Amino acid sequence: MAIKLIRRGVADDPAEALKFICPPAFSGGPIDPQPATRTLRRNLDVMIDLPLPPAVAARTRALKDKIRLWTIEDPDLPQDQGRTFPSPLIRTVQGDVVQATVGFQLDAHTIHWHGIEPTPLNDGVGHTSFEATSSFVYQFATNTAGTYFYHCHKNTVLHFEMGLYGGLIVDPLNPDPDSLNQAPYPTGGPGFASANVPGFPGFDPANFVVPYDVEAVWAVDSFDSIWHLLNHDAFMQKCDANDPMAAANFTNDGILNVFRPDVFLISGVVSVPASSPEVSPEIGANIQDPRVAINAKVNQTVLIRLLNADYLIHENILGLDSVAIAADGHPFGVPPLNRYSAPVRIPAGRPFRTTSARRYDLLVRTPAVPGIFPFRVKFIDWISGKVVHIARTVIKVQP
Amino acid sequence: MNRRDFIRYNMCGLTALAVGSVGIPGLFASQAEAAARTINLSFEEVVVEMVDTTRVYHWVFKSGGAISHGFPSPVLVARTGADITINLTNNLDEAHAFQLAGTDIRTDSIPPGASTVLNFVAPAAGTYLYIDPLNAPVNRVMGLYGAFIVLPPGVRENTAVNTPYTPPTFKVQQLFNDLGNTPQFPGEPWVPLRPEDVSPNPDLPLAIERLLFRTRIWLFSQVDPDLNLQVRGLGPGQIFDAGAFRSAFEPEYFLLNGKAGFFAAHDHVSAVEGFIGEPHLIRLLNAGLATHSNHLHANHYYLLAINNVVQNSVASIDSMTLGTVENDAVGRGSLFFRGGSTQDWLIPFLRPPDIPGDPNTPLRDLIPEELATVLGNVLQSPLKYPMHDHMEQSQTAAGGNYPQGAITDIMFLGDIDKVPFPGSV
Ligand SMILES: [Cu+2]
Ligand SMILES: [Cu+2]
Repeated sequence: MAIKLIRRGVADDPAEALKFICPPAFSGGPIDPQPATRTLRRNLDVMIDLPLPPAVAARTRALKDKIRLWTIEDPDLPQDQGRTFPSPLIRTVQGDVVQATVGFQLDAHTIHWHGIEPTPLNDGVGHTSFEATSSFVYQFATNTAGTYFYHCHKNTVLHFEMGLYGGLIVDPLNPDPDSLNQAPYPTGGPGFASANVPGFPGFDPANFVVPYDVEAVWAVDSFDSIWHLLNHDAFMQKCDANDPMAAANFTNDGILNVFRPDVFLISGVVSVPASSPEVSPEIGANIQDPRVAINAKVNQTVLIRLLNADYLIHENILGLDSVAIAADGHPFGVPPLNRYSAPVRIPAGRPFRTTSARRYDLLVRTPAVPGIFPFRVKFIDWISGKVVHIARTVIKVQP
Repeated sequence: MNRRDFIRYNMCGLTALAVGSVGIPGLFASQAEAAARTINLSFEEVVVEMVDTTRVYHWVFKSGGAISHGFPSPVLVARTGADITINLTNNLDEAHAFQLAGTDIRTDSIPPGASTVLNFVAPAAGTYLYIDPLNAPVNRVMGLYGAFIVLPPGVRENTAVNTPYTPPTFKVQQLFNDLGNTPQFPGEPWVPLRPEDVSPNPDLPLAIERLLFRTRIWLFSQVDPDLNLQVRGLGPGQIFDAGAFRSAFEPEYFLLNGKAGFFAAHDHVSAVEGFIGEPHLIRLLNAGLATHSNHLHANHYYLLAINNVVQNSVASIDSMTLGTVENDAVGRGSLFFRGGSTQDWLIPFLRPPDIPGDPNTPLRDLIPEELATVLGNVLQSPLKYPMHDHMEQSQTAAGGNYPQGAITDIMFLGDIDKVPFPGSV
């Protein structure tokens, strides 16, 4: 008896299928405009070659001394600040109506403002809206203060990996309108975060905000150097308006299901194998670069915004006690929408995990005596569960 | 038949079987089905066509009842505390077994050609994966998995608001109490099942249609066609080395309810459709070996339960780890550690909260230009967004063809006053 065959589905709607596979081009905007309280610009994509330290380059599968990145530039900054990896941070204020003019200099792209929830035309997903080739003004509000990020959502598996992302922080108002430090706060601190942490130094229960002295954004990522040799539309399906889902349109030789990273980074700084011979080469030396390592003083509050910008599982271990005050941009315990949750105390040394796109905001109170405290991330393969690298940095607490 | 019904009729990817007395009038197609305390399942082989038409050999649990076998295996539905009998027949040529993953409800090994009877009491309400636990993970990953949904006791009218759990935590109860009753949740209260709202179309496979009222089941799995082919080539009684299978597993297809990409996004049993203010429950399960990180656009969701552990702190998040059965053995999971192989979300179906403008103006008046825009010959109304795994390797098929992987849609059909957006049926 023949084995029963179960079909893949019925492609009953060619227009919908074609749009799913080959999003239409569009430009212009804003659509249904509202008065903007904040405007900004970004351009896609700007190529950057990130130099690899020799000890890392020698271990990459592509055997290159630098790795090709695609980034999103801020054209309003001088080039050395506007063309960075990760792409320049965006800061808005809670309640803002943002109009972001996005230029597309090379190929078609989109920007998805991950965690921000606007209309589909402003959500930056090609197959539910469009891909832009000239420019488009995205419009969205930022109504909940917390940690978000923005990234390209075209052939996302490749474009996000190639570096087309940056942080997006929504700052709550300073409860003191006469203070000189008003939102958006300077990156690195000081500032205020939304939280519900009774007893924490400086917590303002009437406004659900807590002050911090020092801020760090840790975007933890890894690269598969082979993927970085690919082009924008690598392994995409052919666009066939007559029969979009026909078998002949599919590519069958792709590699984007297999992610074998060989470069590991925190916020754009490459983790270099520890040189000490007794340390496994999978373990990185402490990253001391000031873009990553935290410098604080005794008895201060540090806010760490941790993002998994990767396709791996991260097991994070912090050498100081912390309080997780938010996940995915929504502060725990802050009414009305998040009144069903509570902040979580994470003792020093207790591992906690993230997977792709997840964010935690962690408050750390530095001790009364100086010291150096570690942060480690174990990079864990999404299928085998094997640890493929350990990146490390430090929190330096000075008098 | 209108277009939406046509899609439904043709594209249902799940079938459901009630086990024991489910006891909600109208929930299941016939009283005979509702009354059945015994179901028959057999272990069978099927060939499943992937999104690019590649055909891959699989094993499935087949229902012996009226519902024909499909892929994935049928959804089993029971009420907590019900006495259940499952007759299992092994029609394959190696030993198999049945287990509710994470519980000690299981059969012994069933030799080829043999049958066994499994009696048990349905556990606490929640979302369970049933699997073949033998030669793990080979038999499971070959397709021997399905969703086992346990409903709480019947709807209690005019008493505390029902939740999907027995018992819920304080915070989960509070959340369900607040839906539709507080300023932060304008719209409808939680409605566990309201048969009169269910489509009466007699052409539809009704059981799953009704089970999925304001509920979705998202069963994830991954397929490595080379390994399935090798398993198919084994002689009677031979088994594939489990360690070798694990280390060789390099999936090329990523399925949601047995479908991928366009077909998963357009399968009404997977895609979520509702008006603003109609909260939906999502039950997620992962039968495979890859860890997912599922991201919903347009609304943060509340993480209610992980591996049926109802959460004391119910966080509002936009992306969450969905682990594997293997990880469950290491720890039960939490928001901060392993995500569990099953979890439940509550999507509040708020009007997407970062749309600028007066929140009291209906969207039909606030964004008329967008709702009238046609792109790629498709009207941008109703409002459609994706839900997808952010471990984006799973958004591929055959190593590319983005986004033909583990993805589906969430659609907002109209405003909170039930006035549909243009194009909504
Ligand atoms: Cu792009
Ligand atoms: Cu994202």
